[in-house]
Amino acid sequence: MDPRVEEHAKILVEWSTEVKKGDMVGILATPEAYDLVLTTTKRVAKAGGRPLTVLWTDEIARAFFDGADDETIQLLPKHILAVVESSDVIIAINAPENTKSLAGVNPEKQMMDAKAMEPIMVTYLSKRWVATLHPTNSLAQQGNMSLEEYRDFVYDAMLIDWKEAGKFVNLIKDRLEKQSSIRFVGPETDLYASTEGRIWIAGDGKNNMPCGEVFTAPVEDTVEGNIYFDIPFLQYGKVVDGVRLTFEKGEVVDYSAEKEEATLKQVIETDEGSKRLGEMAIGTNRGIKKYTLNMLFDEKLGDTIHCALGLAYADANGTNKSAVHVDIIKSMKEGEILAGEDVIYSKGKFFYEK
Amino acid sequence: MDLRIEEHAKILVDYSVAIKRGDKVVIQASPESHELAVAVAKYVAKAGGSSVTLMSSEEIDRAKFDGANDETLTVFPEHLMALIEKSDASINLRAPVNTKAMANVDPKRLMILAKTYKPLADLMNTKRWVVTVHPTNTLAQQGNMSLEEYRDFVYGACLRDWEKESELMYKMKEHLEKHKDIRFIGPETDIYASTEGRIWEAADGKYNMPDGEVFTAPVEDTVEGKIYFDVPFLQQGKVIEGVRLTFEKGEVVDYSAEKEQETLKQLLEVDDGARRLGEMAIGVNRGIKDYTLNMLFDEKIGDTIHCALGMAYPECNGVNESAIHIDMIKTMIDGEIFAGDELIYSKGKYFYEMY
Repeated sequence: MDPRVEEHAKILVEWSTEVKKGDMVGILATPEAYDLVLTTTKRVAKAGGRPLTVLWTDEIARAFFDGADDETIQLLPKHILAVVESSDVIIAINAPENTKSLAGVNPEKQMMDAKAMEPIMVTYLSKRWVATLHPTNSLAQQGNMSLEEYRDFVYDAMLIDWKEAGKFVNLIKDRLEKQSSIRFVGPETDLYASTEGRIWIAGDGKNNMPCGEVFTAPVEDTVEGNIYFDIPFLQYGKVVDGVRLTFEKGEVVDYSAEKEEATLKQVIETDEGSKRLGEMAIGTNRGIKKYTLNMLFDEKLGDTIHCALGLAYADANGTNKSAVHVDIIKSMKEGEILAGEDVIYSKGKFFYEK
Repeated sequence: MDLRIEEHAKILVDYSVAIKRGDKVVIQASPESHELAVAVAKYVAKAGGSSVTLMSSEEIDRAKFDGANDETLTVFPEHLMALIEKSDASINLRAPVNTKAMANVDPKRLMILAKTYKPLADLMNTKRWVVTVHPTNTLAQQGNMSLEEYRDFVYGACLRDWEKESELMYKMKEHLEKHKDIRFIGPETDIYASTEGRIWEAADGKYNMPDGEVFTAPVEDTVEGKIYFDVPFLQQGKVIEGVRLTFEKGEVVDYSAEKEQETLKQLLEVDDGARRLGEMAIGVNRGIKDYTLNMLFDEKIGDTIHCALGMAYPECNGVNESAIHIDMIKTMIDGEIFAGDELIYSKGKYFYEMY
């Protein structure tokens, strides 16, 4: 077995979820993640916890949609709720065999299912949880790489000293919270927002692996200016690229995209909240070398910022509501980040790197 | 997908555990049975149930043992218990990746874990459950077959008209229960036992898939005569073959085996109950053409009988206690089965096939 699979498991169990004696641990995985299931199981047992693995695949989800009528979809699976309620820790491993298995399922049915599963999601989020990824051919292909290259890519992003990385994101958080506004400046970009009363959250590998971002929810009606996002992203199966947005009093008043502008339009017109920013964030993971159209990685790219149209995180004191949360990324190698008068980042360097 | 996987799933969901609207179902699978899990999930949804699938395998069990100390082995799986408590049925899709993954785990540690899981196993037994096999290379190899051959073998045994099979098994149960004894006759064989007060169970695919046997627990001290078992079986990693047993007042008084007699001896010496029969049974599944050293299949082969040394099933009103339950099989193509004075089976034909 690739020794990095052992290291990955160690980080998930000891750093991200801090499994201890007597913990009930749920592991969600696919057959493709079998090696990581084995190493994680062993680590959990070593820490004195009791692991239980749930086989969670898009193909099984697809089979459910293929078989179920609306009444069945709306049924709350009480046995799943019970197992989540009685767990202390959940380790969710994404390792698809085929990222398009659910492509042919009616989105309305998927929304119906998401609604039925909401109590389970809420319970899940109240536990110690981490979402991670195990490299598969399906993901490598989506990222334009061979499996071996993709493995290097994934483990470079994850197998770092998280204690050390955690220090830096917390340093950034502390500095940002001394101020009450944020400003991203760069080519074709000068975007401002108030962050008064909002919390900056340091993503240090507890809930996402890989991680490496500091994010907040801006005060909804204070976003002003324009921004050019130069990194493409995947939305509704389409690659949207070169997005330009102009904000006035928190709302998008002008927009364009070099590719797939119609998809961008669809996102912006979803509802009232999708015209506002739910998130502004700074990516800090220098182990991630390039974008792969996978948001778990892309939004954490070092030397980038990202903004999300739509839903704001309540734990950042955000209030924006929307059915969507669409992250869009901009590289900052030629840009600056200011909080109040304080220069947080300038052209490749964070304040603590000067 | 092999269409037989769909059919297999349909039998498990619609016939074996009979899923209905609102049922909460637990599916257990290994990475090797993912395809069958997908098909089962679809049929459960079609029946109006909702399912969750657990991933289990010998390798995952092994990882638990490798990581855990003895104290951790006693930690009760409350999350699994909560899941089972809220479930109505479970469907276990066995598909080993490697049947020997647990071979080097200390048996004492296995016992600790089994004890920890006891309340869970007891609870599961109160629900609807079925155990089946999904064909894998490791099982094909154990059965001396290619995977494709083994698939034919498994589906030949499982994809049957179970409603009809069930009817015939219940007919046999009724006939057997009209009498108070059972007798197997054949080459080097004439064995008798009283079945007074005992129940004959028809195993018709509700709990095991494949299935196909009618079994009871004989009155412990009434077994008399001798028997020659001509089908080999796997025990403690050894293939035992050509077993001959002689009984007096229910106890083995003479024994021999053509192969691995030493292993047979060890088994007979485990405890007092190991020298008595806990089960006498008739296999009726004609879809199983040959033995594969896998008891889930072998004991159901049509035109065979089997007897088990050791523990008797309480649901048959059996009382024999033992740490072991060792099934041994005999072909009956040249034999006869009597209950009282009624001919139940003779040389290739069950009574319901005779007229």
